[in-house]
Amino acid sequence: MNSVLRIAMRFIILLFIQIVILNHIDLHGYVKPMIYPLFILLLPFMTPAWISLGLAFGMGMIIDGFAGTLGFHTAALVLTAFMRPIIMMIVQPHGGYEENMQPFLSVMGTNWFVFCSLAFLLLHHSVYFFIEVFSFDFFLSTLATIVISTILSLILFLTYQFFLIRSK
Amino acid sequence: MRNLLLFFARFYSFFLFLFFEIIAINFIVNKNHYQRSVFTQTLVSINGKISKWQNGVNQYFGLVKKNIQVAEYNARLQEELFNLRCVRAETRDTIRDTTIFQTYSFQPAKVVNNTIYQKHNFITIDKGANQGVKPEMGIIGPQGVVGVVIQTSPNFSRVISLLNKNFQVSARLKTKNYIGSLSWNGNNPLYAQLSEIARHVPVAIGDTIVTTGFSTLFPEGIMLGFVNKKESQEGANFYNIEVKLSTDFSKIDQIYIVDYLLKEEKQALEKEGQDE
Repeated sequence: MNSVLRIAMRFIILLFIQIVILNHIDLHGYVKPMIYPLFILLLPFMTPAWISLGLAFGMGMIIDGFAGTLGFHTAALVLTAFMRPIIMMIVQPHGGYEENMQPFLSVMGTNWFVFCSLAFLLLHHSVYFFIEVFSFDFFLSTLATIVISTILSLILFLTYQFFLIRSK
Repeated sequence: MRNLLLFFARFYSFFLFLFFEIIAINFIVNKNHYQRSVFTQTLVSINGKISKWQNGVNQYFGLVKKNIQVAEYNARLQEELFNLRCVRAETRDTIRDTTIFQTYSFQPAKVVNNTIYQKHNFITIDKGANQGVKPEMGIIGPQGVVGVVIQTSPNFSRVISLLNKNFQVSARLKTKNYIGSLSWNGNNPLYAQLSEIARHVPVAIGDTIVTTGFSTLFPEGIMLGFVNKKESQEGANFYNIEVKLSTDFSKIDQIYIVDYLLKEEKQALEKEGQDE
């Protein structure tokens, strides 16, 4: 399949899962699992910054529009997209990335994928939940929310990738 | 120039990132009620703290003048009190005696920040929600109306000044009882404009303009200013009246927060009437 088409499909599927299912899961009002940051993670390694930033902005605005939290998801996702090359550089394997590599679980291995996802999610969720609380007064409870949500989101990321391997 | 362009081209992703984040933050603080209120409250209290510190220094230089003003105000109050006592003595046995009810409470406060040269001027005062100040309370000074509280933080309040194009207060000619509306056109901080006074009304230069007491913001008869100039265009039904403000906004310092104690009762009654 054409790679652009695949990315577009993934964009729609992840948006659909997030908006239709995950936006309505609200465990005790604090913990919110999210899957859509996976889209930014799974973009090809050589994606130019303006494409990843633009896609992050568009995706964030769509989700914000549906969730009624104008700006929250957008701010978090755009920051994550901006930090993407830096995170990728930190977790790069010995010998760097090769030309035909894709940032998938099946290609890069479990260790790499889990580390990379954790970095993405911690960054994204920290920004998101601090914007939501909008103060440092409840620092510890916000921190707990971030950690628990990160774990749940990581499980979602892995499930999505396993599901793809299975279906091939 | 070329270097500048190269600089932008080199870090374009960072500027693009900044651009998107600014849009997102703009949405966050403008479209979400909670985030917006936290943001503005923080701004108000920072602003208030800085101005209070600044004002503490400035205060010492105007003490003599202020003493005189306070003394004058005291004198006027004494006079009023005396007059009221006389009225009470006269009407003690009649049903019309309403002076035993307290309808307004006055709380003194100090101005800690004030602008007069913008189109939309605001004042910050050193009393806030902790002292019982709420939005929609009127503010008067020794020489008359100053403004209305629009926002409070725990220890400061933001007041929309009479010198603000969005401010409007109902006013009347003191001796003739004709009612109009006083607002400010944004130009000269010494003069405001009185509109809605019909042409058949005998307005004289120097007539006193006071508040009406129709709104719940100010008591009746608080000084606003004096007629300075009147003109009417050919064919217009109303005068354009220029009012010399009694309050000198460049010098306000000691002010009083007016709380109309029967506000809720009055508003509830008027709302009831509207529903039918």
